[in-house]
Amino acid sequence: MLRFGAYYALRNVLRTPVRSFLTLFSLAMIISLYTLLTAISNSFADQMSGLMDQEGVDIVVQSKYATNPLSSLIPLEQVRQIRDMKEVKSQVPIVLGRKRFANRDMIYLFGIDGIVRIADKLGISLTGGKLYSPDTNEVLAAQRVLKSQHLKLGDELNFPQQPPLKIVGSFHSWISFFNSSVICDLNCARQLLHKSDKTNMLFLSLHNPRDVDKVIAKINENNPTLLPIISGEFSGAGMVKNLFYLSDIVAFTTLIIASIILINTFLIEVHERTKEIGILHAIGWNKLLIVYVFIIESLVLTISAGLLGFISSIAFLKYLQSAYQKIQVFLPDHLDASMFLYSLFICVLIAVISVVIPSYYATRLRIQRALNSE
Amino acid sequence: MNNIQPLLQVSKLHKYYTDGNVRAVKDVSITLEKGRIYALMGSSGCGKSTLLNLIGQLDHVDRGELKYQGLPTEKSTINSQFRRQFFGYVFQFHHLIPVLTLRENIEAALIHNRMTTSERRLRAETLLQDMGLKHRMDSRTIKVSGGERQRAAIARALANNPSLILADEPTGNVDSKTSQMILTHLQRYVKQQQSAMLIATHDTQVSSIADVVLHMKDGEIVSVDDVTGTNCV
Repeated sequence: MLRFGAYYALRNVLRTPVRSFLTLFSLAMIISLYTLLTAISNSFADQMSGLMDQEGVDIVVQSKYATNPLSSLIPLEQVRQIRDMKEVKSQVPIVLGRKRFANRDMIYLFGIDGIVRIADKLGISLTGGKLYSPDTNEVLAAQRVLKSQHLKLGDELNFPQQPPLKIVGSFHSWISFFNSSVICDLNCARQLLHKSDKTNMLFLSLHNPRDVDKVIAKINENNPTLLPIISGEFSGAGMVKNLFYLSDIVAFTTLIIASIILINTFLIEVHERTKEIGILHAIGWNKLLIVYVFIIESLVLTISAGLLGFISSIAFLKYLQSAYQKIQVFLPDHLDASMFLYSLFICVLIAVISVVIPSYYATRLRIQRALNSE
Repeated sequence: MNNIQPLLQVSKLHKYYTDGNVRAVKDVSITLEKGRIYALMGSSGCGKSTLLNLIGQLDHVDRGELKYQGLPTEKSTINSQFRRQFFGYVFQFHHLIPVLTLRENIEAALIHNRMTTSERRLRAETLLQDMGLKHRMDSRTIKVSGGERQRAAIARALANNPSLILADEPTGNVDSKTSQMILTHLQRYVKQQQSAMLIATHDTQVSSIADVVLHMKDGEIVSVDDVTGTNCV
């Protein structure tokens, strides 16, 4: 019975191939957008958390209204003021910014003082060569950068009107933020990025981690333009939190639109197939079987759309990675199986939600009226 | 004295349309017995189809009582299972499902039965063969002629061995040869299965196979011609 119902549902999907294709295509695009948005949002959260929620770091400081570390700028005066607080054991300032090669390709430049202390914590593992020495023009380059620029260890990185940087080591990081970057000494980065009087972020370690709240209160009091965050709680902070909310709202809206498209399609189907539904009632099909047919039709459309949407989102991601280098740092390296399963789950959810109203109409049809409908 | 349990008893049946302003069926009382064919005759719009729909539970009764094999019906007892097991519907227009083949159309009427796929398929093929449609069983509805569609619709109506066949102008859209074939088949089925058939028609060729002819006018049964001499009203 269920097999026959499924077969009939499939035939119904193929009954109006153009409409089915257009519905499937629009759903696929929406699911693609949803998958991509969710993946980028998750990746951004992971990047930020990975960067800022460091073991051995008690507090991360950035500008209050910065949406990401690039837009965060902390004046050196405030850096010194924080460093001089008696509760602060050590401070790691980080400078970062974008640089373009002569061929217009873009990378991120990180200036980190004491890479030896922090490399593990940033998920950076050396894949060749050695770490750079302090106060030199030596850099560590991400493997992806070496590959894309056709460089090797010992080569020089040349930026227009800047002294050359010597590549002494290569690395890979599980935080993909770093995989589009080169890392050098803090002073070197300040010079290259023209940030001699500013720092993007500060990592603070305290003598006594229990003083975290006290130190945060002090920073807030003395430096109202800064946002101190307890390490490990980054994803819920300030503007970033709002960005995540916005991304969630957009993603949720896409799902609502997908559901509305599907509900509309099935309402049209019920209207056009009124007589046929009446026949099914007349020959003894029960209501559950009629609902089952609609659910299968909906599942066929949404799961096909889900597959197509997921494949398109991979293609979109590849395109974004190659065409928009400015945002590359926030993009995930790839879409993994869990994202695919999540997309499928969403598709099934849309499918079931979308057939509730049309099925209700279909099962409530008066048989005689349905049979007489045109 | 007839001790046989009647198949269907209709008592004082009424049906109103347009918020009660139009009475489509007025005070109809009839009794249908097994093994007999009843023809419902009258001009177009006299209420034949409405009466058929009310008896077949395709429409709601406004007033009156229907007893199927002696048991009164309530709304809760009329469900898809009852409809499937008790009635076989033949409509004026075949009402086959266009996306399915003729065989699949018959199978669609059998899917609630406890049959395996192969049993269901065999049953559908047998019914189509009986209707002379063996060569057409894998053709889609839109690929066959009107007469073949109507024969397939009759095969579907008989699929569940119904106790009562309700036929609304079953030969209205077919040629005389097909018409004769359909009528012969239905007649044979009723006699062999000891079921009953109620045919709404204004074709005298159709009514000629009936044991009882009920004449309707303005929603009422105005006269009865009983060739067997049994009073059914």
